[in-house]
Amino acid sequence: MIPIPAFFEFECPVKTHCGHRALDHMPFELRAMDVAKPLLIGDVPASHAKRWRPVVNAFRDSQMTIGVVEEIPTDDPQAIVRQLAAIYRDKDCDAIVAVGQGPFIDMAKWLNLVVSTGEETLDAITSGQAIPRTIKPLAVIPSAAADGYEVSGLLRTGNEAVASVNLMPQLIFIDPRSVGQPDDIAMAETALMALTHGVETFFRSDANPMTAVYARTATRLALDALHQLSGIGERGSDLAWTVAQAAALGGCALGCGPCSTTHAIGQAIAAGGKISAAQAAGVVLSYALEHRAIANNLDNDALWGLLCDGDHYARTPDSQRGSAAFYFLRSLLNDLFDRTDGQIRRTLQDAGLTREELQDVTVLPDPLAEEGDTGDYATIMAHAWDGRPLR
Amino acid sequence: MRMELVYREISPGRSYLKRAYLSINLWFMGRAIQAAARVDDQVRREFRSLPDKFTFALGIMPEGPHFIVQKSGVDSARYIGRCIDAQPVDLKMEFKHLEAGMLTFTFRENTPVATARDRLVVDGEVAYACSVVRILDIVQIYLLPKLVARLAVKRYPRWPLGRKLINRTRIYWRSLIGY
Amino acid sequence: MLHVPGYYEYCCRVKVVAGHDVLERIPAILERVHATRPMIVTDRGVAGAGLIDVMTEAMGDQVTIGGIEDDVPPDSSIEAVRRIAEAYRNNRCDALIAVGGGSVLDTAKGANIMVSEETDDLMAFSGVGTLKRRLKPLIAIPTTAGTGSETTLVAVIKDHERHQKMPFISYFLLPDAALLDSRMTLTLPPAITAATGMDALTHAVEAYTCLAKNPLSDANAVSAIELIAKHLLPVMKQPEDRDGRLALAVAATLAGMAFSNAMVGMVHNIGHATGAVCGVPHGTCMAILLPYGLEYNQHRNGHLTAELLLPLEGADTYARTPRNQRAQRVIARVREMNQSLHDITQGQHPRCLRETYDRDGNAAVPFERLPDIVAAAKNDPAVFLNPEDLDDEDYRMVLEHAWAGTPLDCTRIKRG
Ligand SMILES: [Fe+2]
Repeated sequence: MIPIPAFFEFECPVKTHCGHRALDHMPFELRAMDVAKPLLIGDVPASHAKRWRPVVNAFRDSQMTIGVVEEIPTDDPQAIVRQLAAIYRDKDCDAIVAVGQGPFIDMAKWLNLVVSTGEETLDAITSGQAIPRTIKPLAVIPSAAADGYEVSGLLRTGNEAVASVNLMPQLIFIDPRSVGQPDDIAMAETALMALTHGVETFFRSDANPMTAVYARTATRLALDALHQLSGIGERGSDLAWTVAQAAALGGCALGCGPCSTTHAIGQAIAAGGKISAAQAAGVVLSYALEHRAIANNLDNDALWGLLCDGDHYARTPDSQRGSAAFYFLRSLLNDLFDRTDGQIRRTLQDAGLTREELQDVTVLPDPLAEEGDTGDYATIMAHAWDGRPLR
Repeated sequence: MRMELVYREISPGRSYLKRAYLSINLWFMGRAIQAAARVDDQVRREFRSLPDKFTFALGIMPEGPHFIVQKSGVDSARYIGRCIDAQPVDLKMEFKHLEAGMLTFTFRENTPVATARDRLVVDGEVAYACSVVRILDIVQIYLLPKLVARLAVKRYPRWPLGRKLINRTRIYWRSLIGY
Repeated sequence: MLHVPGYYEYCCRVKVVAGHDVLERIPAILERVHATRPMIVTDRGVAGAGLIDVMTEAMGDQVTIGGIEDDVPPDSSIEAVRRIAEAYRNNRCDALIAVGGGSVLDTAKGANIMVSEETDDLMAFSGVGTLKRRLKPLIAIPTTAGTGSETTLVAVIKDHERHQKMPFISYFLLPDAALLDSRMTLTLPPAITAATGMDALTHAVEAYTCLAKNPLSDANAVSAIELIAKHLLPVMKQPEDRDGRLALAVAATLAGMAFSNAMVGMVHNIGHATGAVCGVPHGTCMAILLPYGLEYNQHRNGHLTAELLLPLEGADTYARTPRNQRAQRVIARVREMNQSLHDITQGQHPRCLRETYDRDGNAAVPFERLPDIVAAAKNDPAVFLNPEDLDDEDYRMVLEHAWAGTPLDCTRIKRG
């Protein structure tokens, strides 16, 4: 259990609709927010007929006319946002439903800011003021291939990043029919990112019992998915749905709070192009946690309680809970490595990074980086490189 | 890559088959409540506890099929149609969308599960909702074969054989001819 | 343990601000919602305990208080709503601060509908989905660590003329912020601390063991149970323990988030009825009835009850107790908690319905009233999501045991 801070704030405006026939609840929920004509937008992967049709069909028998723009590219966000905003206004739409992943959802958040505030550029919108809480409702239909920031309060485009709890979508619909069926690698990467979001927000400096609810659930769902993907657990038919849930709830946990050491390092390594940000974060996670534990900055009991079920936890002696947790995370990566013929990396060395390249990696403290981050990235990276435990 | 985005507008369609299926089911259920109130003592007792002229409806949002039943006399009921805009209704139980109605009326989700899954909206004085739910449970036990009814209600009751067999025939018959 | 149902919804939109110095931050919180002239709504009990003074003092002179209405009746009637709405308009207020329990908050919500929609016909907005836009800012400051009403989107207003309880249900009824400050519960009398703590525990336990549970409400429930198990008895012994008080307030809100998403079951069902018929305080009913609800449902959800042993008694006991005895151990633990609360309050916290007394010292629940409670329970919807059904006979059996304080005879529980 994490201690209760002497002061904390918690806010998560997201309403989650998750599971069988979730999409069909969309018209009811939009009507409750006084929406008359939503604009449904989708990125290229989401516009695949199998995923797209259930979303459109959810509006049958709803008496709600919808505007639709599909197969939207993400290569030139500024221009696309401008075009979409013109359509939105021309056609009298009053809410956005975005189907897709990663940068596309960043674009949808941006579009929502533009149509809500009337300003054209992000600079103008955010200049000197907070994002207003009265921006229009945004509904997001997430995917099982996600960067994990979709449901968060972060908007990243180019070199700009804006964070506000008001950027989080008010409604999310996670329906097995609309999460897509990405390949195992993409799902494993999504789940690894969700795992790092879950674990790191659980121990973040502004963590509290309420963010912990999302963090814990995202972690559990991500581990469930990773167990299935690594072959330890039996593979269920709803694996992709579980992955999408983990990513979305990880985003809720993240909110608009600071990003962590793992993410800063992961981003920096991924910039070299040899390994994806999600995989880099997955590799670095256990070493970053161990580093914190050695600095006496981590509650091992809480970590082990977060990662395993009650029976396992209770049977592990107090003194062994920390090492059990680090061992657990590393052996999970080993299993994934075996299962995917090495496509999911155990170490940075696996990704083909050399020691020299590693020395060239400069970890920029993320603009939203955690205060009190020790900055001892080199040690963490060195151990993540060859997979030696820190202790 | 430069391309023009294509905007389309889609008007909501109608699922005629599903609507027809639900309309028939709801119509039959409404009439079966009227019949059960003549035949079954427990249903009569429930109606006795409701206020005079109490009207309740079960149906599908938005503006999908419904049935409306009104208490008549001391302990009987009358099926009074399917248009909820025609008269004020004291208690409305509605599925949030057509698919939610389909899940329940094809016995894939029973009422407790539909409630637990937030598929049902109850609008009106909640105290009476309990009576209505008990009435619906009893009617389902009469109308459905045991195997299906077991899924529809939380606890399948142990009724004397006569209550089930004789009353079931009478309720079916009366529902169809409507008295 | 992860239980993912085929479909679930989860939402806790209310912003929570918690800590030891939250009251000082009220001016800043008001500024964020662009309000400068709040009206304070509360009841005599809260005002009498000096809590409004604590609050206004902490707020300092940075905010002009538009008015203080401190006579909300315990049943949130339409008259009180009208009176407050009128005062709000006359004093040109622009926000509401509800300080107190469920009835104060419900009344403030009702008044907020009237002033935001600029209507005199409150009842036109009753039911589901009639509210379509944001209302005026509403801030909730709970003063008992129990009800969790600051997390609910429902308001129930009584119309005495028409003898009706009208529900209003909308996300727009959620408060803009719920403020948990340890000072607001610091002076809560022991018996009320005990009862409200057990109410919160019941919210969490029922949310975890009844039909509408989901992974997020489960996580809420488990944290709440852990906090209550750790802090309730110590706070009873040391009422001025600020950290413990804050932990209990946070636990109550967590439990409120759990039950506003996953609903409750038969403990609340029978408890509502007992409260309505005999006037026993809600939390007291919960404390007495909780073990019976768990016993009655055990053949349906014993495996879920068993899991709660971990947050309730910790890893050692959990590991030591054989799997098939964990549910029993949870039930026994709840009874032990009631016994300890009974001892600490020198008998003010009753262990069974027979031990409840009204203000004049007469038995609050005479045995002859049990049939009336059964009749009332049948019309309370909280039973919808209880795992097992109850008929007259079942209600009667549970109530008789809860009255005498004897465990249920498991062989008499019907299994459909
Ligand atoms: Fe309660």
